[in-house]
Amino acid sequence: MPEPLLTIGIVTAAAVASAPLRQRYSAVSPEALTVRQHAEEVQRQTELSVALFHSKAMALSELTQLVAECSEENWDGYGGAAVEGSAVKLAREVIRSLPEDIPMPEFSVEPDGCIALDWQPSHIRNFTLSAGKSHRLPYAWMDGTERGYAVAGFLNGQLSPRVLDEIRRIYGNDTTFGIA
Amino acid sequence: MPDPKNGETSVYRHGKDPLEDLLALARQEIGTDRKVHGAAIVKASFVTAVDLKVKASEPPLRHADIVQWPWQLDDPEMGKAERMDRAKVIARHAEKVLFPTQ
Repeated sequence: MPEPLLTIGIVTAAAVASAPLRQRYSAVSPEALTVRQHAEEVQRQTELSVALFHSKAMALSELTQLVAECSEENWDGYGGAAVEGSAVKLAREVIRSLPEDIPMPEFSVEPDGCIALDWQPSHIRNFTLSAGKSHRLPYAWMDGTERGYAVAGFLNGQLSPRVLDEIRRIYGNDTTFGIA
Repeated sequence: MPDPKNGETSVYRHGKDPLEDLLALARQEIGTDRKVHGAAIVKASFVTAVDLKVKASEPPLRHADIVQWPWQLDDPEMGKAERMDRAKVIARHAEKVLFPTQ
């Protein structure tokens, strides 16, 4: 007797809800197993999206708070320039564009009114990207005794793959450094 | 990172003096209307190691500037990236000191 797929479909739609799905399954046929796997994948992606949206929303909220604190000249007592509106817009675009496997950065305002996005897994491993007036973003990184700097383009709302790979490498997530 | 207005980073020479002296210096510098949270201490040799210089600039007492930061007029973004690179080296060797809550 085939499993009632429609029932599983309804359960899948309910996957958006927070109740755990796995415990509801009792299907055993190959078709039901396939549907179940799809349902679990949908749930996984949904949960991931919610988590990702949450982390980005948190980061954007932190950025907004920081901007409010540094919106006037001399915010640092050393004549620091007020944070640039264009820098805020660019920093927000960068955050929204980050792939799901890239952690959210910390923010700081620089003396010239630009916004620094810092990824710092440790004292000696870090990556900093500066969002300013143009879509050419200066960045510098340090990984133990190695370090470097360059300028990254932010074109079509995306950071270059090279920059993203560098951030992953700083976090030790770069799969290209896996099995030789 | 340097002040974009003059291209210099304002610092104070500290030496082996007690931290209380550093705190007093900081209070004198920023006034009484703001709170001093802490400081970063780095040996001048780490500054000169990245081709920057420390130039005495008194008064106030013990004040100095980190100078000769790279600026690339034909490519300002690349110039900034280079400054960020050097600032990272200095920061890596800096010791963070937090002052007691005032």
